Amino acid sequence: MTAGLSGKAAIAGIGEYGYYRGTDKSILQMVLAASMDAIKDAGLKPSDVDGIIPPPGFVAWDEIAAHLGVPEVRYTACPQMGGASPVAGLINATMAIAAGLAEVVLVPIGWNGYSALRPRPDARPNKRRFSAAFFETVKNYYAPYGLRSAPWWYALYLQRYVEYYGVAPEAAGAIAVACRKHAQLNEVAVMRGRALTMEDYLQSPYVTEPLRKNDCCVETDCAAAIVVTSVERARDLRHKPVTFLGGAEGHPNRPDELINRADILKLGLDYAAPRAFAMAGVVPQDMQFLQIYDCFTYVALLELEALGFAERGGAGDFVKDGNIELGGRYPLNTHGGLMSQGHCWGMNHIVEAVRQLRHEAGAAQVEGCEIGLVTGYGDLGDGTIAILGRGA
Amino acid sequence: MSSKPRIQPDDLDLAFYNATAEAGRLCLQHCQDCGNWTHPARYYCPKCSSANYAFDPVSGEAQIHSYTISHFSIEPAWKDLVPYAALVAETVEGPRVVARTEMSREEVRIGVPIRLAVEVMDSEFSYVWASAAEVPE
Repeated sequence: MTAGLSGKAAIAGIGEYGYYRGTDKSILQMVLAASMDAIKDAGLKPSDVDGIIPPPGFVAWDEIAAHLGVPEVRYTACPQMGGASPVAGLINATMAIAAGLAEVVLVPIGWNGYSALRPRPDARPNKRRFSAAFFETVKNYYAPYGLRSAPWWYALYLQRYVEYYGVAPEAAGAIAVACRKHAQLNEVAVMRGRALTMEDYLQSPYVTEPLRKNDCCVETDCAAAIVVTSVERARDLRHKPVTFLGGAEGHPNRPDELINRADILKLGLDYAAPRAFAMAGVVPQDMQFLQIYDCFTYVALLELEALGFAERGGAGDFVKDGNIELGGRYPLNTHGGLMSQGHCWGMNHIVEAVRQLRHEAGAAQVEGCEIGLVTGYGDLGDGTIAILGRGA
Repeated sequence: MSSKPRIQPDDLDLAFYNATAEAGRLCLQHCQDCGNWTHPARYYCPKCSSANYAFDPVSGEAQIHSYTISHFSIEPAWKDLVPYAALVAETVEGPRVVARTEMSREEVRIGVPIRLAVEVMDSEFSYVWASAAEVPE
């Protein structure tokens, strides 16, 4: 039994720009390039687009429409949840299409995650910021304590995960090693050509406990985009449609702060996952690949537990012995993920899921796959999930 | 002596720091109707939806709920202090706050009882410091 938005839209086009460590392109230029690629990939023109769901920061829907030459925007909305936003954008696009508000919705994202922190001498600072309230929380209560950016914020709860549940570093290492292994098959992965063994991982220095350097994803300059339309229209376009089977978002209580939650390890995904599986009428064990938002290895472990693949603290057994590597039962981040392909806010995870379900994933192809999932994680634990299937 | 961060808090965050600086003690938002404590402060009590609150001193009794030990920083104020600890201190009143500490690496463990005090930097910012709670004889 499926319900809600299941089968109400399909991904018809994908585009990527990157992945680079250093670029002369502005964020807007990268986002436009990925958007134009996604539109062309679908076999459409900018004039076919009538909905735009922009990223939660840096660039806005109106300039995207103006630069691409979209003549009439009928629908726009902007989920504000960091790395959970791309999947939220996909859900939102599906909703708009199902409701008849738009026919072809563009969902792009991008940033200069590498260059912003290492600006060229002549670079002008990027003035676009985010509106989420958690930046105030960080500024007022975390940053003064030497907790300036994401590894330091999330370490505040991840250390409890590690110490209270006795999570071994090898569990996190299995995520890092699998992503790095898969990145070797991906021509655009930042970490292609740089092998990582479990021994290398365990010798990686701590940034802030429990996070080692190799628990952290790679900062990159990049953009990616998808084009979403109705299943019927997608069937007439260039590629095999990739159908939206189920999806949901979820948020910790309270959402604007990290440490004053009854259970600081309960992610937004814990709330969202059961709803998404119910909508799709499937169970986690039906999945043939997992594209998991992997800003940090330990966050990915918690997500696997939130999805129902293990009890709290037990993901170490799930990820061992190659279970999450290509050839294993649940190949994870077959493009290399944020850990080793690049950090494109998880839009790269959606793009990879589409490639897999089109059976165009090259050396990383999961043989004959028909169904898989993508997760998003953003800001202070917002969670999203989409279950996608190979269309008829 | 710590260096003073410039955070320029607004609204309830400013009220929290003002109250703490004036009292010289950690003051948290306290619902005047149901007695619930909330941090960071918000306009309606999450328990009873009352908008009737004050910032009252807490006892300072707490325990370590979580923590991180930082071995790396690019920040001028912190890079020479590595490794440094930031604790998630759970007050007996309920709310959790981030706290600095000079406790040793061996002393910092989940569940360890601590005492909280504040170092007032100015009316708009105070550090919360944690020390090992004295175990009664």
